[in-house]
Amino acid sequence: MDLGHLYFDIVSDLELRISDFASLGIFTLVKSPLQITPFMQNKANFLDALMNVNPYNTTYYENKWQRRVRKNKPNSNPIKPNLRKAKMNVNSLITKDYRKKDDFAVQKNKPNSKPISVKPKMNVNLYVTKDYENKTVFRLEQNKPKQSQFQTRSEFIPKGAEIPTGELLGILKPGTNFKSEGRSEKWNFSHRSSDLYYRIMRKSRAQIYNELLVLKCQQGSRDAFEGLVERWQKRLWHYAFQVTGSDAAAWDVVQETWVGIINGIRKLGDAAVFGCWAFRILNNKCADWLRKQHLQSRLSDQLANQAQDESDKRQNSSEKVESLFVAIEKLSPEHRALLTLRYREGFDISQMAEILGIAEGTVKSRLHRTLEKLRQLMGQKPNG
Amino acid sequence: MDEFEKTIRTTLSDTDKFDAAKAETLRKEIVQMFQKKLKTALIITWVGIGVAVVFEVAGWIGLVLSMFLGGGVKLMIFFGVIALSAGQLHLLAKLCYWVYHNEIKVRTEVKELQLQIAELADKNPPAGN
Repeated sequence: MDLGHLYFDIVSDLELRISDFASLGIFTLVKSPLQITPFMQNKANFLDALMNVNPYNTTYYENKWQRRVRKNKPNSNPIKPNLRKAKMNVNSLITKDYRKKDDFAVQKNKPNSKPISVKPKMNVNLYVTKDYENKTVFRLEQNKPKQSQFQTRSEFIPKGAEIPTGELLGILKPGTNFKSEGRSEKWNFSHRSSDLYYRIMRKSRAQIYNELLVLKCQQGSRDAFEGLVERWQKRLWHYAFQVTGSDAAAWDVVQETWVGIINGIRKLGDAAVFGCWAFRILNNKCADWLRKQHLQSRLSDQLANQAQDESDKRQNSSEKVESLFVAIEKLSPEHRALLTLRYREGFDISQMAEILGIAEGTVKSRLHRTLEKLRQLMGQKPNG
Repeated sequence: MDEFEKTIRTTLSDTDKFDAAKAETLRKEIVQMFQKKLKTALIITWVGIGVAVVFEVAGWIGLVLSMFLGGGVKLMIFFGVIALSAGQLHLLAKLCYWVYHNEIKVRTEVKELQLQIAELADKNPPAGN
């Protein structure tokens, strides 16, 4: 034991004894200014002041003082900082992104064979512009999103991104709280901001015009509504025709759909989702029509056609169809609807999921099964 | 997209049995329905506002008359409540209409601007794209 420790132990022992005397009331030991203030304030008579000392306070000071003395002993079990918890809070995506960014920084110092020559001419947010540059140089076009993705999805906006240009242009849904959207948090920032760039720069004129028509319809413009009918009627009819398989039924269903659109167009918050919304109404009307047909047929000739249907099915499964058109006609309405939405209307999986009211995974699996079935009907070997 | 999927796309695009004449008839019908709906909405709005104004005026007249002709406090409160409620309803309806239409107006203007930008971008495509 060195001298310093010995001296410290003697002093602390002495102080403990003095405090014992003090607690007995023989004299008052003043260790801290805090101890003086309660009873020395405006008190000329020290004895009176001593009488007024709160016992609780005294005890508290004593304890504190004693504890402070004992505190200097070496602690066998010191409190360690909880590093593990802090580690868990770090977002893996962000870490990855930083890592990538570092890589970029290293690569940037090398002589660049492809200097950045492409800069957006429009007033795009600086962050987006930077990111676009990075993408152009290092990732080329591997993450370039499809054109059909640009129409509707407000959740593609990255978390915490401030995009005044997009907001100004009306590309983003007004009032959308990007920070609170759970889904956007899952996306890699750089990837999604590139989507945003394309959405701003590559939104087709036809699409913007369509949104304009919807907004004017909401204002009550007859001409705008006429234009909207002209633009969408054929597409809606084709889908209805593929699902119902009957020309007359398709027209009926389309008419009912337009009635639904007239009733609900004022409540449509985002003009950009008009297409999905209209197709969803149409899909519901088609489902109603099919249900009605099914009930009618079941009531009328349930027993009579049962045997015939079974034989037809057996025949269909064994028959190899030459023409793709005939093969599509042989599919169920549900499968035909999927094919039409995907290959005629060009909707992506997420939009199809919205229209059909099912999960994206379900859409993918159903589409896969439809294609397999079609291949089977055509006599081709199934993929995968 | 493989060859098979491309064939499906072509087949679905080719099989067009769309009847243009029928479409034209249906379009006219639908536009008429839209106009009818607009007219109905307009009538309902104006009737609602008219009723609110009538109640408001009647309430104020009743309040004044009951004050000066001695109709009693209960009657005064009754007329006062009618006048104020109708007035507030009237104001609220106008406010809602104003908010809705201004929002759409601003969004329409923004969309028009966006269309102009898109047209300009099409005329002068950025280099390298």
